[in-house]
Amino acid sequence: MNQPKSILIYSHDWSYAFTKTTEFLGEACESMDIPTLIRDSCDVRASRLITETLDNEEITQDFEDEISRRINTLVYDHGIDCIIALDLGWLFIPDLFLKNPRIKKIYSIWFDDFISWCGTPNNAIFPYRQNSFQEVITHPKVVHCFYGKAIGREAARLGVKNQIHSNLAAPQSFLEHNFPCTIDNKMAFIGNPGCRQEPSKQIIKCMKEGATLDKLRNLSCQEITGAIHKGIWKWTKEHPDIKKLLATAVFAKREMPYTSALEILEACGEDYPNAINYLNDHSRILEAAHVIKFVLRYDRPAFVNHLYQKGLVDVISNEHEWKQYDIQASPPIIADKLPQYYMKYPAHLNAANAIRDATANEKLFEISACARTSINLNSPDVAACYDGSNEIYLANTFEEAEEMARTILKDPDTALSRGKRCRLRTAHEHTWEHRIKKFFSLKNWE
Amino acid sequence: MSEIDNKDAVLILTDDRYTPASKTSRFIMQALRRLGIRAWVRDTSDVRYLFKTLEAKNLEKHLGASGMIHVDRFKSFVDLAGVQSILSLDLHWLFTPEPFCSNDKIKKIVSLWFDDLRTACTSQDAIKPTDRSFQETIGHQKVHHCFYGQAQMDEGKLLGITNTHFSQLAAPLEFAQRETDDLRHPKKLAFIGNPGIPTPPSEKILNLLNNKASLKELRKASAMDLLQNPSMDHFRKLHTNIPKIIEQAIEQKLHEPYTSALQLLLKQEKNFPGAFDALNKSGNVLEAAILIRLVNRYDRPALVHRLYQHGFVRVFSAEDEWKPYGIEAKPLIRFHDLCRVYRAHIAHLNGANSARDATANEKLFEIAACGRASLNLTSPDILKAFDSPTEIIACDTLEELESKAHDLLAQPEQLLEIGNNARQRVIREHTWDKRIKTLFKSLP
Repeated sequence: MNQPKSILIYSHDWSYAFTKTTEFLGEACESMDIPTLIRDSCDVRASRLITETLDNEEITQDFEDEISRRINTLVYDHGIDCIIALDLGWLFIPDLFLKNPRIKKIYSIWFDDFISWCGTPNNAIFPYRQNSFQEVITHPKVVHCFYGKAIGREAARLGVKNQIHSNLAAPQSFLEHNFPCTIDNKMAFIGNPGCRQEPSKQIIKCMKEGATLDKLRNLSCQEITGAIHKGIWKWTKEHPDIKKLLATAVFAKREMPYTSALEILEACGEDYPNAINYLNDHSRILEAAHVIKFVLRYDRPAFVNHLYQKGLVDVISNEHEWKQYDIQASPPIIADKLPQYYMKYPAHLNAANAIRDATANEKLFEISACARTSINLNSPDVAACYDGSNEIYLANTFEEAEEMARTILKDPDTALSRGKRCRLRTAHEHTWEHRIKKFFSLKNWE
Repeated sequence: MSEIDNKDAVLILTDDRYTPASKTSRFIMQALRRLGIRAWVRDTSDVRYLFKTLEAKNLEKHLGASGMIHVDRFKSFVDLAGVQSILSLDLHWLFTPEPFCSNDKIKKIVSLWFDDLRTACTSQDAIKPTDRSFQETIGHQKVHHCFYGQAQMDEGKLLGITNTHFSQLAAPLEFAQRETDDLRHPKKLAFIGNPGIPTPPSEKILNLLNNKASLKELRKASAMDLLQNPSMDHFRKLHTNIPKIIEQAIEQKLHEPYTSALQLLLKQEKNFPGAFDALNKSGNVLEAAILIRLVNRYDRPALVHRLYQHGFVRVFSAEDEWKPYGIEAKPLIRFHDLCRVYRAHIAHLNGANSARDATANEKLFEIAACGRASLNLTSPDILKAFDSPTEIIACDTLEELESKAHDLLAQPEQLLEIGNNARQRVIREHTWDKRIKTLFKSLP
C-alpha cells in the first residue's frame, strides 16, 4: 500500500488533560511504521489572538512568518509529506501547509460540526480570514473525513467535494487492557449532557415524571418554534418565509430523527424556495440546520436521567452540567484512566450529542474495545457498526433501555460475553489503524 | 517517600516542538506511565516565542495580560489533571518565572539537565540569567536539579542552587526490548551526531587531523587558539588577572581533560587573587568556563575523522557541519528510525560534546540499549556506567581507537557479544524507568 513517508499530526487541545485521540492516531500511524510527530496548534492560535489585539499588523505578520519558518523547517527535516488533524486543527496559518510542496495531503478527521468548530474560542482563522476560509478548506490537497452524513452534507454546502465517509474508532491499546469488573449492580454513563444550554423547568419536570422520548422531542420542538417566533435568532427575521421553513423542518426532524438536519431543511426548502435560497446566499444555512438539530437535544440527558432515577446507572464527568438535571455526577476521568473505568462496569449507556447530527460516536467504539457492551438508542449508524442482537443493545424507547439495563444487571456474565464480542468486532474492524489504512488506500494517497 | 506514589501526576514540559530528533521527553513519559504515574508531555516553545517577540518589540507592557492567558491555561491543566510534579529537560519548564513555583498544587519541579547552564540560557527564546528573578526561581526550594556531570553540578552551585542530585542519563526500555531489525552493516561502524561545536575548524587543525595528530596535539593546538580568543581582551578589562587564571586553567585542562573547567579555575584562584571573584561578579564565569572546555573541542571530530579516513565509519546528521572536516555525512536520523539505525550497524563511535564537560552522554546508553557496542574515549564517567572491554570499548588514544576498530571489525561476533552485555547492563541499571523510579523515590 502506498502511504505517507512521515506524518505530522496537529491537535488543538494542548491545555486539556482529557484529550486522547491525537495520541491514538499517532500510535496507529507508528504501528504502520510511519514516522509520526504530534504537535498542537493551541498556543499559536492563542498567541495569534494576542498579537492581533495589539492592533499591530507588523507583529502579527512577523509572528506568523517566524512560526511558518519553524514549521517548514520541521517539515523539511522530518521529511513530512502528510498532515492529519482533528477537525481543522491544522488550519492556523492558512497557506502554511497548502503552499508547501512537500505536503501532499492534509486529512481533516471531523469530530465537531462546522458551526461548533468555527465558534470555538481560539479558532481564529474563521474571523481572521473569513474570505479565504472556503478556498482553504476546499483546496485539492485537503481530504475531509466525516463520520456522519450530516457533517458531510454541511461540508458539501461549503463546497467541500474531497470527502470520505469514515467512522470514528478505538485505539489498539484499549484492546489489550484487562481490568476487572468490580461493580456489577450498576451501569455507567461517562460524559456530558450534550448541549450546554440550560434545560427549562418544564423539561426537567417532564423527565422526572418519566416522559417518553417522543414527548421530550415534541416539547423540544415547541421550545424551538417558540424561540423562532420570538425572534431569538435575529436572522430568522430577514426573510418572511424563514420562520415557516424552520417550523416545518423542526417537526420533520421529530418524525425523522436520524435524517440530517440539513437534508430535512433542503427537502422542506422545496416548499419555501425563497427562504432556503436566502439562507444559503446569506451564509445562514448551517446556522438554520444547527437550530433544527436541537430537536434531539434532550435525547441524551433524558436517556441518562431515566436510568439514573431508577438507580441503574452511575454518571461520571461534568458534574456542574448534570446538576441542572438533578443528577449527581462524579468527577471526570482523565484519558489514561478511561479503560479502567469502562471495565469496572459490566455495561455502559451511550448516546450521541445531538449537535453532531451523527450517532456513532467515539465512545461507542472505545467501550467496545474495552470488552464492554453498551445500550444505545437505535439509530442506523450505530446499528451499522455493531450487531444489536449479540454485541450491543439498541433501544427504541427509554422503557426498552430500562428493561435491557435490568437484564444486564441481573445477569452481568451474559453482558460481559457480549462485551467480548464487541471487542472482537472492534479488533477486526474498528481501530484507528483500520481507519488510517483506509485514508491511505491507493485511491486517497498517491 | 519509600515507594512511588501512584497518585502523583507529572507534567513534562519541553521546548523542542520544532526539533525532529527530539525524543527524550516522550521516553520519560512512557517510563512514568509504566510505573503507574500519570504523565503528559506539553511544549512551551510557542509561548516562549510570543514572550520574546513582545519583549523585542518593546511591548513588555502587554506581557502581563498576554502571559496570563498562557499561564492560566497551564494552571487549568495542572488543576484538571491533578498534576503535582513538573519535570523537564534543562529549564524547559521556565518559560516565565511565575506559574509553577507559586502554585501550591505543584509539590516539586525537576530539571533533568542535558545541556550546560550557559548553553541552556543562551538558546533561542530562553529566559536569560540576567532576568531579575532567574536565580531566585531556579534556586527555589521546590526545584530539584539533576545533573549527569560534575561540571554541571559545579555550575549549578555557583548560581546558588543547593537542591542538586547526581543522575546519569539513560535509555528507553523500548530500545532494549527491540529485536526485529536487521544488521545491515556488519562491517561498518556508525557515528550519529554533529561535531559538537558548530564553528568550522581552522586550516591548521584540518592539517593536524589529516596528518593523524594525536589527541594531545589537537588539544594543545586548540588551547593555543583559545589563548588568542578575542574575549581575552574583554576579560583583561574586567581584571588584569582574569586572562592569567584562564590561561592556567587551559594549561591544566590539557593534563586533566576530564576535570570540570570550573574546578580548574577554582584551583588557580589562590594564584591569581581577585580574578575568579571578578569573573563571578561580572556574570562572566560561565563564559570563561566554556573557553576552557573548548580545549577538548576536537576530541569528537578527531575520533570520527580518524576512522572515517579508513572507511570504517558511516557518519549521520549535521551534513553542513561535517563538510569542513571533509566528511560526507548522511542526513539526520529521525527518532523514529534511530533504534533501527543503531541496530543496523555492528557497533558505534561515541564522543562527548566538549561544551557539556561531561562524557556519559545519552547516546552511550541508547547504543547499549540497542545491543550494540560503542567505542569511546576513556573517561571516569563512562567507566562508571559500563565496564570496558566487556560492555563497551574505551580507548585512551586515537591510535588505540584505530587499532581496536580495525581488529574488532574483523571479529563481529565479539562486537555483538559486547553489545549484548551492554544491553543487559542497561536493562539492569540504565533505563529511564530505573532513573525515574530512583529519582521519585529520593525526592521529598
